[in-house]
Amino acid sequence: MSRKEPALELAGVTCGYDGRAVVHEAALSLAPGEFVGLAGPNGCGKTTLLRAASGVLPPRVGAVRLFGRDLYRDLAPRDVAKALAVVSQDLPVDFSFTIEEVVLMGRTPHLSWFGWESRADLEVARKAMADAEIAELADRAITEVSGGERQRAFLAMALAQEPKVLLLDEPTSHLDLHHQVTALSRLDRLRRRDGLAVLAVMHDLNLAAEFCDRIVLMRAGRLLADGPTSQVLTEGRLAELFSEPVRVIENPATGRPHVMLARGRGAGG
Amino acid sequence: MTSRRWMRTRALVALSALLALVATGALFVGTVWVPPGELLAGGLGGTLGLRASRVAIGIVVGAALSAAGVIFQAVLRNPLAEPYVLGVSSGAGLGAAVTILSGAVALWVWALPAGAFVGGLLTMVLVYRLARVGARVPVHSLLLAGVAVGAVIGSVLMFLVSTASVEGGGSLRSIVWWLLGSLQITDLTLLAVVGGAVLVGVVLAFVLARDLNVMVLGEEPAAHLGLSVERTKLVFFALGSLLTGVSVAACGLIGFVGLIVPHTMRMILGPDHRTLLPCAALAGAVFIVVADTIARTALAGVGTELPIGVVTALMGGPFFIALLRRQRRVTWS
Repeated sequence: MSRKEPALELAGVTCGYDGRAVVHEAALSLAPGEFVGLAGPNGCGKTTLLRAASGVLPPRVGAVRLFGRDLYRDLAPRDVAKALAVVSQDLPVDFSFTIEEVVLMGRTPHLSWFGWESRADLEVARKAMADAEIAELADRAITEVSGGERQRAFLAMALAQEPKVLLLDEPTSHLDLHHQVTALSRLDRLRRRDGLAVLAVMHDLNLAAEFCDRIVLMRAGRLLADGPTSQVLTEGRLAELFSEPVRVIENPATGRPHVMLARGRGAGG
Repeated sequence: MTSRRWMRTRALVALSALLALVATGALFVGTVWVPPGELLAGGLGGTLGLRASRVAIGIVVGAALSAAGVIFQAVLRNPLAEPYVLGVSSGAGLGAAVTILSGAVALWVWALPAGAFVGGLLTMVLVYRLARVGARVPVHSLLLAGVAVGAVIGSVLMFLVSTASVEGGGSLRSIVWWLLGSLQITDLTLLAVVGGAVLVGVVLAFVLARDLNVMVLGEEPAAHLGLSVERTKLVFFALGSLLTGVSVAACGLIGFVGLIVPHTMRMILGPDHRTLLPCAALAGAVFIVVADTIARTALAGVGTELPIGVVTALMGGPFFIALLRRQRRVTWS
């Protein structure tokens, strides 16, 4: 893949909450069309890093740039939302909007201050629902559908923003094996078709290995490794990072790295 | 989408018709029975005029309190948020009391609603700050903060009443009257001022109603959609406090309207605030006109009338408890 101007760039970002830094000096860039996985142990700062990148947590040091412009200083929230969309891990769903209504909310940054959606906005929303494979449930209440369908609805809402960068926090959580694979295949299709830059927090290293061009590993708020999947997922590094001995083999079916546990049950401690 | 728009139009027409019906009916009912012919013959200068002004202020205040409830529930993402429960009504009452006691009311017709608005807004911001835990406003901390702040303000209000009583009856009567709520407004200029402010407030909230939909998703998702969350919150706190403040300035503390009406309308019409807000405003007007008619006539046999605040609290209290019990099972945060 050719190296273009980064769609999203974190330059020496240190950020956190209440005076406590959670992420330290993170440097990361994401090119258009690239699918990057962000992995690491629980509590290492993945979600915090994603929040800083998404525009809701200003870095204490460093800068976040969206197509070369400082996201926090040079861009209004609306302009950020036209280029960057976020699919959060768990959105509260205690409101009985229909899925179509939810997806239309993705048009918010494109509407004028007091604007309501036009027919053109509805067309964009319908296309987003088709891309997220949720169109047939457009009239269902978001409160009445399954977890996987809800996730697709919120993906459609994000796509209705017509973003160039998509950030996802664990897009496969609460999904079964088949739905995990279809969810990631869907993202893979979109980034290839539309040149969407995708940064996803991934818990499952093997799913990340199958779908991501690049993997970024984090430990205790710092970036430990950043590179092509096969170079990053090494036995020594993973064993150290997760305090769990592993084997990395080549998946005979796909040729991608595959992480396996290296010790059986009862070996914990 | 077309069907939704059609539903909105239908609901608005139906509620407007219901309001016209109820308001007309309320003109012919009162503490004393006046035959319709005699009532109409008396013209606006007689009993009819008194009842008409009472119905008019009922419409205004009902619409305002109900719309304020819709606004607070959406922005705080809390189904129990309501001007009275949040302490905003009490804050507005204190603002109004201070304005009366300072004598500013005599100088400027807007002084009373302005004082009530400022009192309400300051209380809202205080309660919000106290209730906030990190980026979230949990249901229980919001209710606790509202009740606690409301209680403190209530005691300050009582203190003002007790000191005012030494100086003279006029101010005292006005403040006690506030604590109970009443639609006995005699000052037609105040009625016009309050009516104008409520109309502006409801129309502005309706124009911005789409932002309420986005806010219901949560503050962070709303920010991800490009909404300036802090500014939006401030705008809606101001609108909610304006609607509450001018209502309190006109009619005192009338509780629970903003709880009962928005909930019922949400159950019927769904959560889209572009439908919910105007419909809840109309339904709130109907509710208050009916409640006031009950307040006027329930004790007519013994020659007295109930404060309307008592009527709405009698209906609203059990409703609130039922919602609170349901909250234990279904979280709405």
